[in-house]
Amino acid sequence: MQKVKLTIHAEEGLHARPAHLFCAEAGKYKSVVQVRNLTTAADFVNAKSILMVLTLGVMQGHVVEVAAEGEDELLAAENIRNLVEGNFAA
Amino acid sequence: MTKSTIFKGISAAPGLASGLAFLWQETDLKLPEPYVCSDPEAAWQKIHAAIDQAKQEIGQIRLKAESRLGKSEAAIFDAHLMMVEDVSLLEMVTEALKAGANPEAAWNNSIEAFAGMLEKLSDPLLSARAADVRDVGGRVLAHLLGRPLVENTIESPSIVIARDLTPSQTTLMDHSKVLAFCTSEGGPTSHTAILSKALGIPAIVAMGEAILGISNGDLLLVNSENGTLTCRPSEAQMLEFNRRQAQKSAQASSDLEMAFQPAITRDGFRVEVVANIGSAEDASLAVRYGAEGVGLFRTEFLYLNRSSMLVLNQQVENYSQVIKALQGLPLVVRTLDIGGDKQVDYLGIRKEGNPFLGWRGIRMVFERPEILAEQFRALLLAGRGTDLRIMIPMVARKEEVVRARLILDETLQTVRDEHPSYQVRLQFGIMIEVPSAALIAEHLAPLVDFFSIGTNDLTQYTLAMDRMNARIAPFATPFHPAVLRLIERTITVGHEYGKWVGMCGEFAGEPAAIPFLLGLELDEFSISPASIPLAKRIIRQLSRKDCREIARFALGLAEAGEVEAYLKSILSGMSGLKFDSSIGLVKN
Repeated sequence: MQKVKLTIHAEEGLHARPAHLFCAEAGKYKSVVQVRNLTTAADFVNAKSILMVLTLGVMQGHVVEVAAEGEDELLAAENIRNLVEGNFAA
Repeated sequence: MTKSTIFKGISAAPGLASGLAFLWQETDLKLPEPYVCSDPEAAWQKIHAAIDQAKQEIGQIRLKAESRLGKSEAAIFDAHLMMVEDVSLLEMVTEALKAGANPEAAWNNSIEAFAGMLEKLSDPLLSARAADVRDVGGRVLAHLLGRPLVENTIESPSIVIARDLTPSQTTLMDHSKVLAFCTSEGGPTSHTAILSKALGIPAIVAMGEAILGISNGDLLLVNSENGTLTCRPSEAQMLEFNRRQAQKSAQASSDLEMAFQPAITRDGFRVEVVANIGSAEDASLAVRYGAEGVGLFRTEFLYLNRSSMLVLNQQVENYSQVIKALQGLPLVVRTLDIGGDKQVDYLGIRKEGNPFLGWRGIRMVFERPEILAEQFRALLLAGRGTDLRIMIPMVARKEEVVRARLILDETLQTVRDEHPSYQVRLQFGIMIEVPSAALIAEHLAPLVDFFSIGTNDLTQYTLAMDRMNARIAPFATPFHPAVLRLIERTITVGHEYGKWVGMCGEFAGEPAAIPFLLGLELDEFSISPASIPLAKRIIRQLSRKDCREIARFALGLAEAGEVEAYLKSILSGMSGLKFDSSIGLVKN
């Protein structure tokens, strides 16, 4: 299991374009990828589901935790970190 | 409906419009009577086929949106494509099918479950995503029911009457044919409201079911100043409406026409009327409204929403775009002013308990001089050969000004060494927004080329009142005599030392404040672009000589309420100038 904590800097939080990019990235891996909102203490949800990620209500400045488990968990965690830390500048 | 009827709602975008009704047709998406579905696999196939058809439609909408409105407007449809086959949504649908639900109900209940969850979120931007989920859901449901979505084609310019509009509907309709929107549902943050504001057309929302009884082709008057829609107006109502509309548009267009002429008082004194901006787009807008330059360019946007400093070349590029948009007009740039209400790790800005009294603005220069040096360097490189004025925010102590000036001089020297033919008409100024700076103005004036008074902060720091706190915001007014005295002191001292003095707070664009500020001989009014035409008209109708008396009298009053009432009475007493609160007070 790979876990990484990330701060969301995007002005609009994790919705619209950033949410789309986030879930698209999570969807690339065989691993089970989950995410939770640490700031609001919400439970883990499937990071590949845009609808579930939207329900986390992640706003600018919130900290999320991503957990990946599976054969490509290292790569998944690393690439999701790069996406978020690069502020979704894909 | 044969008699005239008046409907009331919430104004969501300002303006007046008259025209014929276009009643937006909805597809009937009523679910069939519940029936038992014995074959979940067949039901699943049916849903799968409907999703595929919906995906194709969304793909086409996405292409249309991209070609008509651009990439960023089209991005929402990427999210729609993702939502329509969302794993969690499909799991819920599969569960419902296994439990024996029919495909229409299984789909619709799952969509509603997610829309309901999103609606409950407190952030209005996120809760608005519920509309996207329902938009996607309805598209699939229409295919499940075998009822294709009704195409609404607006043939001639009309007032659109609808229950509410989905994101795909608002994106796809021909905006040039819409005179106004009136919706029975929706709120001030609905898609319809956001679109109307962006397009600059009037909109009234939450008008109630009754408006859906209006017939296609009915004559309508939309007045979103008071949130009313008049259906089949009487002749008297028509006349009154036309008079109001003509008056508004004539005033606005004559103001705009005159906006390109300088603002000279009746007794021949010229003042500069310039704009407050935050981007290159704002700069172009300012030029179109007759701004004679920019008196405040906020640069925080270059530093926010990032995890490291923007590289120098990109900073230079951003500033160059603004300079280019100004076509040679002078530019006053304010250096970085972010405080501990935001957390910006790479700048060392942490959340603070009292961020407006904390580590921000020029106070950062002692710990992190390199941030300011880098910004100066980018500005100097972008401003080569131009009229560039740089000012620093939040000055409270003389040492801050000395230090900033030193860094600017050093940076300029380095730039000159690197580029032997480098030239710039450079001025260095400071914001006067902390009372201590106004009170030691004679010690600061010799170090600078100009002062710019920031009334929003000056007011909150002088009165110790947070203007964001709704319970005390009404009292946190720059009309308070203490604020007026600090303004007077700043201008007087600045002039004694031969420096020009501007103002870049909202107060400078407040019509009632203009006679007072002219009387104190303020040199430069920096206001929001849209306020410029009106401010110039007011200045032209005043004489500085009269205004000196007005200012002296106002300074002698004890209470903000008295000052405001007095200055407003001056304004409404001016010949040919009526104080109109709906167009007069433009906040930036």
